[in-house]
Amino acid sequence: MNVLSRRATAGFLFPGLAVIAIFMVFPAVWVLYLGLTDESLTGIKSVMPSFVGLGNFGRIFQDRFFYNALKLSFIFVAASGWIGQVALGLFLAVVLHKERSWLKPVLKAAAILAWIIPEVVVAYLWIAFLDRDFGLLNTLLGLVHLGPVNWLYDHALFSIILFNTWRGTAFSMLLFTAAIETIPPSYLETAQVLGASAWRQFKDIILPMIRPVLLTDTILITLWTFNVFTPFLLTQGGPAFSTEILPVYVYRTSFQYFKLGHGAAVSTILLLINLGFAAVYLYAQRRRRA
Amino acid sequence: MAKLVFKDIHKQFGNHTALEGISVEIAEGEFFTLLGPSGCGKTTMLRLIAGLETADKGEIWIGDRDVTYLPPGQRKVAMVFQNYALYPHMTVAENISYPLVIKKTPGGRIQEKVKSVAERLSLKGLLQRMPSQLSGGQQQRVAVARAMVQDPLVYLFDEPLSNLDAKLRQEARRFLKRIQKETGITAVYVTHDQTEAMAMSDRVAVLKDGRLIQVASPETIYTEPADVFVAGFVGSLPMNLIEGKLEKEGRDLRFSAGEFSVGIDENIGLANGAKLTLGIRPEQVFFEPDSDGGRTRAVIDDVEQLGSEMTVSLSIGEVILLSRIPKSRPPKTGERVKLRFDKSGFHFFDECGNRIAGAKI
Amino acid sequence: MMRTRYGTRPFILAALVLIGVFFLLPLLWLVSTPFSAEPTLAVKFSQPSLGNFLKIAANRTALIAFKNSLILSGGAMILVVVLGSLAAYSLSRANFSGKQAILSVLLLFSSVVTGVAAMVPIYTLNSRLHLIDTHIGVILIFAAGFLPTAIFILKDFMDRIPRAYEEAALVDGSSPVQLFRYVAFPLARQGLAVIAVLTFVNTWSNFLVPFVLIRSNEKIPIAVAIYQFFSEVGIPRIGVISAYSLLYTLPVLVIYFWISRRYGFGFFGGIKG
Repeated sequence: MNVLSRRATAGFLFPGLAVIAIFMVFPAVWVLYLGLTDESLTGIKSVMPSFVGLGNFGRIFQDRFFYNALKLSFIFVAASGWIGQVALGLFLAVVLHKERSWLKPVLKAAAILAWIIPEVVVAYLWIAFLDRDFGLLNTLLGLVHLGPVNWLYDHALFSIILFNTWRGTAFSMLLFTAAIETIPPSYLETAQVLGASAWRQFKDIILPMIRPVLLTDTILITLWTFNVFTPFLLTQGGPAFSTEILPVYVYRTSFQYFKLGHGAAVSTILLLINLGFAAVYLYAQRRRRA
Repeated sequence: MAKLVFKDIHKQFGNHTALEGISVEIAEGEFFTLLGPSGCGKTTMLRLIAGLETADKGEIWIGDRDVTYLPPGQRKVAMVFQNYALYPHMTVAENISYPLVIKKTPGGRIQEKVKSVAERLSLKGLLQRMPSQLSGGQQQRVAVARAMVQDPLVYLFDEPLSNLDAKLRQEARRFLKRIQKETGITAVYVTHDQTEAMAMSDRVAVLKDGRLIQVASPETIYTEPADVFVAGFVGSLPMNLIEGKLEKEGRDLRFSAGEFSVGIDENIGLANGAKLTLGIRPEQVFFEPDSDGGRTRAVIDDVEQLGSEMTVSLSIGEVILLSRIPKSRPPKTGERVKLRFDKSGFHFFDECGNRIAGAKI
Repeated sequence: MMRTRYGTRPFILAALVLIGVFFLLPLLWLVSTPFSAEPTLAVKFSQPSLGNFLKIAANRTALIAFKNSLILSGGAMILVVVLGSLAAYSLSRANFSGKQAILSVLLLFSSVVTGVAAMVPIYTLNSRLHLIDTHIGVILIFAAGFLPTAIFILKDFMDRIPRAYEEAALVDGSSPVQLFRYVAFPLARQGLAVIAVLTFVNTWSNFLVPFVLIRSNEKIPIAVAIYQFFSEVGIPRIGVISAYSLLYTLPVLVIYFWISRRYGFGFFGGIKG
């Protein structure tokens, strides 16, 4: 027996789906069209944009700032996402798995705090931490007669990579910890009795057994890191565009230079890249199930 | 092949004492079983031999080496776990050869050894399968093969049969025992199943609360249990244990507990008035129709038919006795019967539950 | 004697201590500065003072932003809970073909259409609908973003409610709305509570969406207000910013603590971000 009539089903479903359709699905599709216009934030073009075809895309592919942003985004994802969050998270999960000391809860708590505190606050924490004159990092370096270093100016890209590693490692660490906990202890103990080194235990047993989780984590981290806007709060893309990753590039061209049509074209490219990540994810999941 | 010695081993987990003053010597080539209920410390003993735990006090020797503080990989022992711990991402061949790969054995030699072990355990046709494609019995053999291929000084078995169903377990029992005898390698076997312990072992150590209660051959454990705990733990049915006291009655001594009463010959060396526990195995409790109004009368409570045998539960006032007898005409529930005992099977335990040596009829 | 287990060897221990310090250091400022009488960007534990918190009480922008954050987070929360539970109930009880497909496609969209990738069309859409610089515009964007995940999780909760309850209510002559109001909604309140607080926290913490969609200082939430405090004012008012940041962070910590105590890590893994 159906508890709900057809009409009730549709009636209950409609409001939610309508909000999703109008405010999420429609913009994502509409952006394909917007990218073909010269829509602007202000002036006459904001009221009556005209169709410019693939002009925006042509201009993007000649824009050296676009390539700069693309390159920076790739470095940012590889360094802070893969080497930072995924690799460091995996290292911590593996090493902390058997750790019994006070270090474990402290480290876990600190990493989780870094992960859940609102982005504006963590950004300001890092501005304070990295400050040339008063920052804690330079103060500590001063104790061993190093520095001071103007981190956000002279090593801006390195700074946001370090920041984003700090910000996001908790997720990978917790995910891998959960995965490692599903490995029966006797698997590792068998290897220990054989005399397998810690490295061999990791390589021969832990790694093969958590491989699916590793893949899931890497794709999610890639997608999230690629779409993170927080570095803007630390450096505004500067100095001299040295930290202008794609999200910041979209913001600058669209809202500081008022060229929404151009921004829409970049957004289209971003959405397609995101879609690519999602496709890899779905493909991997399907293969795992098969 | 080596003997294995525990010298006054203590092990504490937090404020739980897992092992307290364990000293035992396991002979070369012996099949030695650690038997006890869960939490008695038997698995801890095994893990101490493997080096997966370290003793707080005492020494462990394998052959002529003190291994107490050696890391697990250097002790030359091979362990088979309850869940077999076969690596699901490796084929059977890879699982069996893994110990040799770790020990950096040359490739040709690995192949040779895996082949010979697989032949011996009839695993040849399964070498390219994944563990998930094997039956429970096959998985168990692969785990044993992985232990054998190491040529260890000692085999360590942690309840390796408890994941098998009853029928396979019997078969696996014989198989394990045969392999152990053929290789002549000392084996330490942990189980909570007394049937397994009795069937397979050269000697059995019964543990309780981190202490060794008795170390002896299965035969001795059965016929001369060291205390009421062992008496109750060993045997397919637990021994009947009746708490009561001795009373003088004319020239004879009688043991009585409530309405239950049985005559004891005087010459067993027990004093009048002593409080003690009488133990009788169900196989030595008999009954017959109550015709002449004998002294110990019982009522049939329940009858369980078990093929060629039956288990009858009898009550004498508060005391309940089990009797295991060959199948015959089943008695009726509620029927009154007269009890008869094979008094040579009487065991006497003192107030603390310890066997009273020599108190045998 | 040394034991060969990973985690006990000195160089790994040293690495752990270093990483632990790395994670801990940037957080220190947030616990020291709000209580400092002379707040700077340095970490100092001097004589404690509550002066910075008193200054917030006197700061009009800060107070208005607090109210705005409550409106945005509360609004998104109510919208997501009401629309999400209705849709989840409907999907849980309906059996038309393709309902699983609808869910999957929506989830795919919500993970691909991020605030960053869609800021331009979202801005353009809101400006066409005259929703720029309105709270409702921001609320609708957040609601649309969270609804797919919310529906997915709530459907799971609703699927676990035995139909016998509703059948009993139907026999009593309940209408579909009454079924939802008196049976499904109360029985799924466990799940609804989680969805509610997660929507609240995610909206509360978000910076980009209100930053793009809200123009006037009267309407900005805390996230944007803090950003303005430290970027637009000549000399940043460090004391106020740090105390304000701490107050802004506290509810987030409380909620995550509550969820992880009750449901473990698995629950917010896929939802945050």
